[in-house]
Amino acid sequence: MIKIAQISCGTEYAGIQPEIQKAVDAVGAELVFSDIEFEYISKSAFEIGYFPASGSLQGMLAGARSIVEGRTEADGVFIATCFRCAEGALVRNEVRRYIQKNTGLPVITYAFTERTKSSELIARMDALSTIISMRSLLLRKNQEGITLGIDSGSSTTNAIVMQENEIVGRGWVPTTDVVESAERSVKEAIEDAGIKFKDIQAIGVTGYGRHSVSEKYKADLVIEEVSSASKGAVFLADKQEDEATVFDIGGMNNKAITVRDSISDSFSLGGACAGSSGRFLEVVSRRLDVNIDELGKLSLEGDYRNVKMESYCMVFGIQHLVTTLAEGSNREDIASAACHSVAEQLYEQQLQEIEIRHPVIFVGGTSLIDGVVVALEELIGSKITVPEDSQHMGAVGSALLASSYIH
Amino acid sequence: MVVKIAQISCGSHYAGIQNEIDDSIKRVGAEVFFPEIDTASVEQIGDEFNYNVKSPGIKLMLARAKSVIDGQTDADAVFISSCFRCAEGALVRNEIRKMIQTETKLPVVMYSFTERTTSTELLTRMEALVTIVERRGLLELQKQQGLTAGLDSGSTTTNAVIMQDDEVIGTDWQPTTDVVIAAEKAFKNALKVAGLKRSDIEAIGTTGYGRYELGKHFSADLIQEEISVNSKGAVYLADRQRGEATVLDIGGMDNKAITIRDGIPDSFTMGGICAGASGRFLEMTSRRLGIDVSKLGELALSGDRGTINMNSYCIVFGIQDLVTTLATGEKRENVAAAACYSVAEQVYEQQLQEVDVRMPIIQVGGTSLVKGLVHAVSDILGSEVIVPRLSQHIGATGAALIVSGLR
Repeated sequence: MIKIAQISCGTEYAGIQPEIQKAVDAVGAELVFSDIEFEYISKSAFEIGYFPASGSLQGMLAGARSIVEGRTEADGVFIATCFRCAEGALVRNEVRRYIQKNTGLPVITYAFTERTKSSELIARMDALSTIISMRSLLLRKNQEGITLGIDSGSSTTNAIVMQENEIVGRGWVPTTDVVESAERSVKEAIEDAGIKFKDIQAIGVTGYGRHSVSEKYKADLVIEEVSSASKGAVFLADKQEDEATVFDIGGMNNKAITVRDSISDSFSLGGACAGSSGRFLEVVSRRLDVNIDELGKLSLEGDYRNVKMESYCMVFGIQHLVTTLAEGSNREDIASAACHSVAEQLYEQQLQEIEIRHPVIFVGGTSLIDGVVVALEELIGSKITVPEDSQHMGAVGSALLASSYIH
Repeated sequence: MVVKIAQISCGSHYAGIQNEIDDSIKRVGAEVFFPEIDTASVEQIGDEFNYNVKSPGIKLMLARAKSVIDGQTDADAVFISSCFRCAEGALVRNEIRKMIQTETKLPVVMYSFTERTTSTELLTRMEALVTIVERRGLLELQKQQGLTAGLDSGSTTTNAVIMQDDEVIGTDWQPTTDVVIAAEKAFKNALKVAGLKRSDIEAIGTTGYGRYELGKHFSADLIQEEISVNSKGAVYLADRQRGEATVLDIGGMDNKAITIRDGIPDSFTMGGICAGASGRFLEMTSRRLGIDVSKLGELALSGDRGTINMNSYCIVFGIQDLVTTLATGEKRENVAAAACYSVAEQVYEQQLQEVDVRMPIIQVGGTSLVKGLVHAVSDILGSEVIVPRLSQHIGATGAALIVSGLR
């Protein structure tokens, strides 16, 4: 059984420990805590070189040291503190760095509120346990035979047919009914590949609707999005060796993942705020009366600095943009401001939780919007790679990994 | 007298916003300065405060705070600021505020800036600081005298109040369409309720977002920002003019949390970039429930949020969750309760961390009439919340009261 070590402060007090336990149970893992002695605590702060005022945060440092020294057996680490505590945020980061520097263990950090529910944690625990339990599968670099990958996302459903390490068929439809959209997408991909459904030797599914889709297609592999997106991204960008960072801004969920040799070792998932999602861009496009794929080009001709946007919120922000448009601002500037706002939100809400490693690979539907790419490059101060087929990363990752299941 | 504001900050030059700070302070006719420090003492400053700080910029903040506390400067007020990204900065900002408030009587405003902070956002804050220093005598007035009018021009509504000999004798409110037209209408109606003519009024005070325009139009005797005016109106109506209190105003677009000592604000935070933490969320929920927002509060009181699954506080995703829940047959009162709780929680999470909440809490503004929201705020803060009579008219009442000192 996979052992996930919990290093945290305040989970009992906030009443969310049962939720953490539920999430860990749901993915079939075991939660472990470091057994630490009192004396060990102050020594650990000294060892790590960081002295939090709170005793309980000092305890977190001791827990981390116990894992690094092998006194606590763990396959992955879950680090959590209360979102309210600034000192906790510092310690969370210090602990993550310390563990990553000294062990090969995958780590997730999380800032909880009193209303954190197990459903929010399941996606994270699922990814963590996949990374651990499917490690050898995730190391696969080449696709073999003929396989199908389906990514059932909240906005779009992607299907990809791969043959001998090449993408030969693509399907991409908006998600309405989960299964129906998958069927249409698969049909498109198969026709595009010029094959028949029975030619497919293995199927991998991922994304938010993966369980329903898997039931329909009797998939060989069902995999959560962090692993499939990382794999797909590094394959498409041809960066399967060494380190990289993968960004994905989705219709509802965002991901920022750091990978080492194509396997994620820390990630941050977002998705509570529409202002940092692809949804914002869809709505702006509608207001500007352009198709979303033209928004990026339009924004490159504009300058976000010419537009006053006082809010990143989807409601207030778009209200500002519409007012500005009515006052005679040009559409290019508005498009640029919208792209910049979404990129900035990803940066502010999520990129603080991971340490960006180069190269940065940007995937998902929004990576096709040039304006967002440029805005992100400006914010992180370095070039970003957008590989070909970047919007299909999840389906590509699933198709590639599914080839391990060919009999 | 020129008001001298001591700036204690980290990163304002680096983030390129120092000129915005300078500009906002110039616009309110004040002067800003950096407290002088003994450079030799900076290294040891952490020991003195019993606070271990890593960043040299933040050490400098502590040294400057010490200079103010030790009376080495002639500061009239203090502006404390650090980058919103820095957790250590957030801790130090709070520590410094507490120390200055314990050791001195200087009013303080805190602000966490982003790279796109503009002088407009800072203006109301600086103006409030200056008002508190310059008009201290006026703000100490506890009884209204003579016959005065107060006009509060907010972004959503415009309020008018007529007062005579310490009694409110006429009120009216109008939705803000055109600033002047709405105020004319509200003023006229309030006069009608009071049975008076405009020429009977001895002095007029204006406040709120459109205060300058109204001040000019009505040749007002007092034009004052809403922080100090609302504080005065709230403690007056709640009969808490002595001692401490916290005033909470959740508006249609922006929120205020003000801590008060003897009727005068000594620290405050303003928010307003997230619709999920605003009255707008309640308006939208009401619309979805097919009821008037005035009925939402009652409905919420009879419901239980416990059964509702809301995965996001965002106005877009959150309301989507509520609608889905409603479609699955959930009771309307439970949905109303969940909406009220969500807004209260967001205000708490986004804003109330920045002030030391002092009892009693006085909730004011239009949303204070939504009982379910008041209940949720009480629940989250773990303390009864006072909603004074005429709580939606505190701004206009405060203006009428204060201006009576200028007759």
